[in-house]
Amino acid sequence: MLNLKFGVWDLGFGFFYMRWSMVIDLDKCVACQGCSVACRFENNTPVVKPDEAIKGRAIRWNDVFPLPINPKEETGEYPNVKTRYLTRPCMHCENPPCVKVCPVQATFKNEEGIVQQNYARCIGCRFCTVACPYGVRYFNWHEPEWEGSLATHLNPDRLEGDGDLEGPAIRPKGIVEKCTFCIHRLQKARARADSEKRAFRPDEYIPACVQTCTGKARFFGDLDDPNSTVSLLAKSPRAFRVLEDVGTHPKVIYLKEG
Amino acid sequence: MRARLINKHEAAILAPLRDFTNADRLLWAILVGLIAVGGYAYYQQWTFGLGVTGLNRPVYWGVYITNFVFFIGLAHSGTFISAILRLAGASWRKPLVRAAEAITIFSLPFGVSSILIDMGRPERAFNIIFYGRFQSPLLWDFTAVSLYMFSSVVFFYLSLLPDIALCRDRLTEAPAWQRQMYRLLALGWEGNPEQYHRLEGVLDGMAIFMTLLVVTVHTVVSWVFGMTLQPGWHTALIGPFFLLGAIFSGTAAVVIALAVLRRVYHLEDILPINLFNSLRKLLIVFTLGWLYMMVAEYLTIYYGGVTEEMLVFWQKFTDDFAGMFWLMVLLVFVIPLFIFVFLGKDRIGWMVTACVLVNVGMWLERYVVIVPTETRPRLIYELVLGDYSPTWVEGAITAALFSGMILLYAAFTRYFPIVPVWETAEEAEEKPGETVTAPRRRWGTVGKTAPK
Amino acid sequence: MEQIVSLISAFFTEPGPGGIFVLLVISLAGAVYFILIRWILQGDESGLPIPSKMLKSYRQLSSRR
Repeated sequence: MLNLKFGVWDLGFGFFYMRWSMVIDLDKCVACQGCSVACRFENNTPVVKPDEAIKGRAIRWNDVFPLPINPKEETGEYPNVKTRYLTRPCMHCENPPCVKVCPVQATFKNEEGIVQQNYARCIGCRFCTVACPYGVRYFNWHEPEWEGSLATHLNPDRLEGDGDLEGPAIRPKGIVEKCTFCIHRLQKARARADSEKRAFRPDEYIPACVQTCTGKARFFGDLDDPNSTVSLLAKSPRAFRVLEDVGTHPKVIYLKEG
Repeated sequence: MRARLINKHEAAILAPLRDFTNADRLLWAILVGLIAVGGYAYYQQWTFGLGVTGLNRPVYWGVYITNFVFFIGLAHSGTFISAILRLAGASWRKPLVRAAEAITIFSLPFGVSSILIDMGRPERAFNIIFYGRFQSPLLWDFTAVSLYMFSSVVFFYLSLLPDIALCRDRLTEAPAWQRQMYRLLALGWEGNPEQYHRLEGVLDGMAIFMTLLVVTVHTVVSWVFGMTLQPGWHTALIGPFFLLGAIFSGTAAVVIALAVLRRVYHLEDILPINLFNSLRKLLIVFTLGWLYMMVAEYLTIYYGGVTEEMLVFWQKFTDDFAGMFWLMVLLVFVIPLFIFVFLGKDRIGWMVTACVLVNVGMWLERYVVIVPTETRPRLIYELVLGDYSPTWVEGAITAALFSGMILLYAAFTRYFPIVPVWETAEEAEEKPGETVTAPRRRWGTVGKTAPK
Repeated sequence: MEQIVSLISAFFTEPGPGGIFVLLVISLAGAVYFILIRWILQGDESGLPIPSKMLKSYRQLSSRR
């Protein structure tokens, strides 16, 4: 595995693993989908044609969609509509069902809680896609292609090494991909801190969706640091997690409207 | 052409090996044609990706995985008849064992191929060996199915061995390459009592092992679904359910194979009707057992009323998959049970009809277990409410897989005796000294009756 | 004790051991079958008394070569 974690300069500051988490305040979210668009461009998400999108093959690492307020009920009829818009990245669960079932460890949880996806090793069996209860995983049904100016604006960042290919890297057809919490940005931030001979600070690392959010509804940070924004917000009475009862322990925490 | 002292029993069993008709040529041509079309379909998929299928999000697994489960299920026929019935001491099974085991060894490769066909990057299949994680049910699958396939081939070969030696000794008119094949494969088998004694001992031991494998294999296949969290899949009953379904569809397949062989190769005396009556009784038990499983599963779900389970339940009972679900119930249970109980005794035609319906229905059953759950994922929102329409690619590949299995089976029956001679010899009536002319149809005047 | 638990856990979760296990199982089966088949073929006339049901078929099959 690539050693993303610790620069030499971190050692002086006493060392602990971080537990990366995201908090999304649904009261502030206006469902503008800026996060989804930013994610696509940051991560070179393949574009699909309309006929493929109708078949449900569009790839959206971050997806924005209407969800019944009480997930067990219908959304209701106008004017008594009970729905909300949910913006959903990968939950980066503490107990990820996808990681358990991967036969080749193409997906794995690292020590900092990020569930990574290695395009170089994935065999395309799609077990992880059917195991994920949140539906955050997507499959490349065709060779990815970008038309016109999209092809000239690809993000060159990637994680690449010894049998490893992750993040915005151009991936082949037949493999699975999903939100990585912009792990390439983490690698860059650590590398920068290292080159500046100082310790890495958690607030130097921010995924594209969090950076872009129009309503400043998204927060990101280290859940193990009791003073971080995400830790403080996670204690809010408005905090909830999606499908909490299923045992996955997702690390994306939502704050309900109210 | 020489007259030789062989008894009627042996002559009848070896007769198919001495013949090769135009009907064979036609059958093989059709099957090869279907395989070629399937090959072209796979070429399309290899070039353009799995997008040429009807698979989508959320239905990531469809026809190919259904085929995988179906073919592995068919394979349980042989092991059930040869291993389990052997342990039960059911001597009536003896004429059937090879025909049943042939289904096993010729269906397993196509089950395994179905997985490779379904993979997004099949050229990386060896990653499972280099980087295999035993926490994944796919590794349990890989271990169990490979071991089962390997063991079935060995078991089959061992029970075939004395008869290969027989072919080596009897079929002296065969072409040189064929005689050489028998000589090589016979491994110098002499047929002395000690060899027979040891062979029987090993077969008895392997029968126990194969029985354990059968239970393991299909349970492990079902756990690929059972170990996920998805409603409709995550049930403790899935192991026994799949296992019973496999033995059920496998035994029905054996009936079909036997009826065809009996008719085409004129084996009426070798495969008498009471064999079919015995299988009929087993099939009645399996049909009722299948009903038990279905009631246990769906009554429990319905009574509990858990939301995400009920969405999948209604998908099967009343919504998108209702037509398929109820057709499945009709084909697997209602019609076959009626036929087995009231029409099947002593009537092979009805038995075959019922068994064909059972197998079609069991394919549908696998489909109905796999796909509806995917169309109603836990996180329910409109963009994900799925449906699935398989394309011609999936259809062509499925047809090719079935054709491949039938072709291998048909070819086998023309080169090796499909009924074991050495196991059934002592039960056959023999009149020493009776002369039967071995008809020289195959390697002489092909397709015409040999002159006397 | 903890070491054993973590070894077992590593066997299941780390990539690699699973594949080796599959190869071991298949190889072991192959070795066993090879030995068994060789043992069967090594049987000869000086073996155990003939079970009566084998007698007829033995006469039939091997005395008419």
